[in-house]
Amino acid sequence: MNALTSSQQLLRYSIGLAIWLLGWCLLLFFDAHFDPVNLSLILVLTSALAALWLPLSMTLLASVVGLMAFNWSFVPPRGTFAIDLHQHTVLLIAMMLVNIIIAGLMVFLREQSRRAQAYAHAAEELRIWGDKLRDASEPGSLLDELHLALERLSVGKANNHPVALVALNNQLPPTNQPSALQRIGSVNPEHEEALWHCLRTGQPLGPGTGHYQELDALYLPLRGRSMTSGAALISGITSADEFPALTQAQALCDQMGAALERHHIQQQERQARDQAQAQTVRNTLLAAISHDYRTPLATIMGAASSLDQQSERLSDTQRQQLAHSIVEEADRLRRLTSNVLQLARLDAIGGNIQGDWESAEEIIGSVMRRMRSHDPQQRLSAKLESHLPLLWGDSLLLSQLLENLIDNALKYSPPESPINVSAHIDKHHVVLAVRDQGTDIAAADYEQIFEVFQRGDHRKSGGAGGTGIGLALCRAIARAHGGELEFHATATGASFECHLPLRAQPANPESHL
Amino acid sequence: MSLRLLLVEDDRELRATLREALLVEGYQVLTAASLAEAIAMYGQTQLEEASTPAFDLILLDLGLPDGDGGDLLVKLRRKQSTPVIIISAREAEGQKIHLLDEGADDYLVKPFSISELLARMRVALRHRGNQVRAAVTRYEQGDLVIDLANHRVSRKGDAVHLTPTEFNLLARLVRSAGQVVTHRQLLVDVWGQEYLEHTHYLRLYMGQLRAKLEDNPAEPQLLLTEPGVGYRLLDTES
Repeated sequence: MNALTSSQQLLRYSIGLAIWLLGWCLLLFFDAHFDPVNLSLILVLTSALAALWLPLSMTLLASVVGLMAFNWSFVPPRGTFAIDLHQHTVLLIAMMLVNIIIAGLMVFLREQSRRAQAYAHAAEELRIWGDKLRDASEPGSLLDELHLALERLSVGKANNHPVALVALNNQLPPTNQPSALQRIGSVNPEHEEALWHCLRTGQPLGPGTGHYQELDALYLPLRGRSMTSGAALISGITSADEFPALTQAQALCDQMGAALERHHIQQQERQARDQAQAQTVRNTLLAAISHDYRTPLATIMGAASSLDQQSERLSDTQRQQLAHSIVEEADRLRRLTSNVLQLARLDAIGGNIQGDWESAEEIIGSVMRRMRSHDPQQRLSAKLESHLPLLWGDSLLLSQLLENLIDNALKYSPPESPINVSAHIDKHHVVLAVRDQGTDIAAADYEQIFEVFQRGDHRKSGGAGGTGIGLALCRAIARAHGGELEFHATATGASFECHLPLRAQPANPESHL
Repeated sequence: MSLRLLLVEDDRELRATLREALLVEGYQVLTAASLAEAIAMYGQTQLEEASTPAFDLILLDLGLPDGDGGDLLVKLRRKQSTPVIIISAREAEGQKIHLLDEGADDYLVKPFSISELLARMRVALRHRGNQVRAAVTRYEQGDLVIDLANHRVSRKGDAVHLTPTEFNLLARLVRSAGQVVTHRQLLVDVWGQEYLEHTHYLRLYMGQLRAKLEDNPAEPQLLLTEPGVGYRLLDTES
C-alpha cells in the first residue's frame, strides 16, 4: 500500500526525468523565438509536471539545478551565472519560489490521494472480509484467510514478519491448555504464554498498542462484544513504525472475533432449544407411559384383589380365569416395560447403535416364536424371500420393532383375520413388513401418532391409546438403522414396512471350512 | 431324595413366591437374601474345595444388597460345576453374554413365569456333571435324529448331508441341547479363537442348517435364535 516496490519507483523516476528532458528540448527549441521571460514559463511547467512523479527532495533538487542551468543557458549574459538585468533577478527568484511551492503542493496532493487510496483499500478489504464472515456458516473455517490477510499486511520493507493464529475450540479453559486451541502457524513457548494473556485480557499487546510496548512481537485479540475467541501473533516487530497497518489488522481480527462470538452464541441457543425440546418429548413420554401402564395394572389389581378378598365365594373356573388374566396383563406390562427400556437405550446411545451382521430370517424367526403364544388362532404367517442379504443392525432393537408391529396388528385388526410377516429386497433396501386385513385406525391417525412424539404434544395422542410408545419406538429404531418406517394402506388392510439400507456384505468363509 | 436348591434373591415377595412354587414341585429349597448369607449357607470350605456340592442347582439374583451375584458365580466356577441359573432384572445383552461365558448355565430376565423357570431348571439339571459323565451324543426330536458318535443326521428316515462345518456347529448345539450357547462359544469351539468377530459366519451356517433341518426356516422350531446372545437347540423334553 504505502511501500512502493523498487520497479514502481524506477518507473516514477524515469517519467520525472523524461519530463525534465522534454522540457529542456522545448526550451532549446523555442530559444530562438522567445525571450527568457516566456521561456521561464516552460521551466515552471516542466517542474510542476515532474513534481507529480518525483519525490519532494528530487523535485527541489531538479528545480534548483534546472534554474541554475536556465540561468546559465538562457539568461544574458549567456554561458555565465551572472545576471545583467535586475528584472531577471526578480524573475529567477520568483521562479524559484513558484517551483518550490508547486513542488510542495504536488507532493502534498500526491500524499493525500495516496492516503485516500489506502483508506479506500482498507475499507474495501474490511467490507469484503465482513461479507465473507457473514456468509460463512462456520467462521472458524475462515481462520486460514485471516492468517493470509495478516501476512499480506505484515509484508515489510526489510523483512516479512511470521504470523500465527490461535482460536478457542470451545469455552475458555480455566488453565492454559494447548489442546483448547485451534492453531495456524508455529508458536514458541514464550509467544504461547503472551497469546494466552492476550486471549484472557482481550487487550492487544506489543509495540504501538499501549500495552507491553517492549515486547518483540504484536499480539492482537480476536474480540467480540463480550468475549475474546482467539488471538493473532505478528512476530519480529520491535517498534510501532515497523507495522503501520496495526489498526487495519486489529479491525480484521475484531471482525473475526465478533463472527466467532456470534457463532458461539447461536450454537448455545440451538443447544438450549434442543434440550428444551428433548425435555418436552421426555415429559410427553412419561405421561404416555404412565397412562399405558394404568390399564393392565387396573386389570391385575381387580383380578388379584378379587382372588384375595372373594376367594371362598368364587368357583374354581372363576378363580382360574382371574389368575389367567393376571398372567396375561402382567405379560403386557412386561412388553410395555421392554419398550420403555429400549427407548431409553436408544436415547442414551443417541442413535449410534452397536450393530452386527444379523439375519432377517433369524430375527423374524425368533419374533414369530415369541408372538405365537399371543396368537391362539394361528393368524400369523411368515414369508421370506430366499437368499436375503445380511442386515447390519442391533437384533434386539429390530426384534422389538417387529414385535410391536405384530402386537399392534393382533390388537387392532379384526379377530381371526390373517397377519402376514415378510422380508424382501426392494432396490437398495431390505424391507421387513407386517400386513394385516384392515385395522380400525386410519392412516392419518398413524401419521399423527408418529408426529406426536416428535413435537412433544401429547394431548393429541389420546385417540390411539397404547400404540403411541410402541410405534414411536419403531420409527426411532428404523431411523437409528439409517432406514425408515412407512405406513401404507393396501386394498385389503394396512401394511407397516421397515426399510433398512442394504450394505456391502461381509466376506464369506472359504468353502473348505 | 429330592434335589436341593439354593435360591439367592433379595426381594422378599419374589423369594417367598418362588420358594412356594418350587416346594410344590418337590424341590428342597433353601433361601438366601444376600451374598454373605449365600456364601455362609454354601460353606466356605465347599467353595474352596471340590468336595460333594451342597446343592444341586443355584438360582442367583445379580443385584444383591452386599454385592453382585456374578462374584459368587466366579468364585463357584473355580472349583465346581453346580448348575447356576441367573435370575435378574438386568436385560443388557452384554451382561448376559458375559455371565454365560463365565459359566452360568442360563439367564432368565425378570419377570418370568414359573413354567419357564422349571423348564430351564430341568435342562440345567440334565446337563449337570457333563464334564464327568459322557457328553450327550444323541439327539432325537420329532422326525429328526442326530447321532454324533456315528456322524449321522437323518430326517423322516432319510439321511441329511451336512458339510463338516455344519456338522461341527450342530454337534456343539447338541452337546448343550436346551441351553443357550453364546456366539463367542460357538465361534471359538467351531472355528477357533481368531474368528471371534465373525458372527456373520454363524448367520450363514445357521441359515444353511435351518434350510436342511427345519420345515419352515422362517419359523424355526429346533434351531432357535436368542437375539443378541446366541443360539439354543430345542430341548428334547419340551
